[in-house]
Amino acid sequence: MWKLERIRVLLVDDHELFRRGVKSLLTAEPDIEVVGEAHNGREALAKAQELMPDLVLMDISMPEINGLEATRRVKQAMPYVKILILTVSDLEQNLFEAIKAGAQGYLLKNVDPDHLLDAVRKAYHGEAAISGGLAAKILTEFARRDAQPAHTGRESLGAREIDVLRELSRGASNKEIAATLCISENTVRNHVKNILAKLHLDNRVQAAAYAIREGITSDPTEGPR
Amino acid sequence: MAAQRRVVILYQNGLFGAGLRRLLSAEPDIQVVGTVPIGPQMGAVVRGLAPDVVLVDRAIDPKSLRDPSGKGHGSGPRVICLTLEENQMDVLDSQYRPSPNVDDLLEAIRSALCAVPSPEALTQTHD
Repeated sequence: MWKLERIRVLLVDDHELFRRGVKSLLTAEPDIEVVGEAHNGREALAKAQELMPDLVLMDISMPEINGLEATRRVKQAMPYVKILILTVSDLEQNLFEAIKAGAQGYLLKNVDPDHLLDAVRKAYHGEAAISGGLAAKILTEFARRDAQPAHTGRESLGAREIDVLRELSRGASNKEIAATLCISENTVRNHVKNILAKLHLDNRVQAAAYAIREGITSDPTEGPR
Repeated sequence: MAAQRRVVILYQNGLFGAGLRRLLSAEPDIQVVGTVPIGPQMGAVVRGLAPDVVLVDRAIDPKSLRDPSGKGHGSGPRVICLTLEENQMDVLDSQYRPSPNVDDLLEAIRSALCAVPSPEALTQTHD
C-alpha cells in the first residue's frame, strides 16, 4: 500500500507562543510531522539524538546554548539532519555563522506560512532555503572576499561536476539543472553530493559561494575579485 | 454559553500572525475576526471590526488604534503585545509577563470583557 513520506520535524524555539503557532501550521500539512519541541539549544541536541528528525527548525536567540552553537553540535553528531534557522535576526554575522555551522537554510520570522512550508520541503530534499534578500548578501559577501587558494581541490572535480557547480552558482534547483544538462534529477543529486564531499562543503549555498569565488560561473563578468 | 471574545491579530511577522490565528481557532469561546498587517490603515480596520481584544506582535501605542477624531465607543479593545524578540507579553491595561505560554495568553483574552468596562457598558448596567 502506498504510504506518504512525511518530513519529521523538531521545533526549537524558546518563545512558546511562536513555537506552538508554527507547530499548528506544520501539523496541518499531510506530509509534515512535528516529532518534538525544544526550548533551548541543549534540549535541542538531546531531542535530536533521541528522536532522529529529518529536519530541525532552529531559533538563534535562546537561553543556555544558542541556536548557532546547537546547529554546530547537532550537525557534528548527526550530519544527515537538515537544519533550517528561523529567526528575527537579519544580522550578516549570524547568517554566515549559521551557514558555517552547517545550516541548510536561513529564514526570517517575517516569512509567510507558505514560504516556510516550501522551505521545509526544499531543505528536506537537499535544496537551500534562504529568505529573500539574504541570499544576495551571502553571494555578495563571498564574492567580495579576496581570492584565496582553495582549501580543497577544485582539480578533484570532473567536467560534469563543474557543469553542475556552475548551475548551482546561479541558484538553479536540481530540476532546472537536470533540464539544462539533459540528465536525470537523481544524477544531479548524486553530482551535488559528490561536489559537496570533494570540496568538504555542507550545502548548496556554500557550493554556490565557492563557485563564485573560484570563477566557476556562467556569467563571464563574475569571478574571483 | 460563555460570551465569545472577538480578537483581531495585528502582525509584523506573518508566520506569527498565522500561527496565533490557528492556535486560537481551536478555542470555542474565541473568534478571530481579523488578521491585519501592521501599517497605517490598521487603526481604521480594527475600529471597523470592533474586537474585544487586539493581539499584536510588537510594542505599539494603543492610541494608534483609536479614532483620531476623538469619536468612538468606550475605552476600546484590550491590547496585548506579544513581542517576538524579547519573548514577553504586555497586556496594556494590566499586567506584564515574561516568556508567556498559551494558557497565559488565553487567560488574558478571556478576562478582557470584565477588565475595563466601557462607560457605555456601565451606563447600561445602571439602566
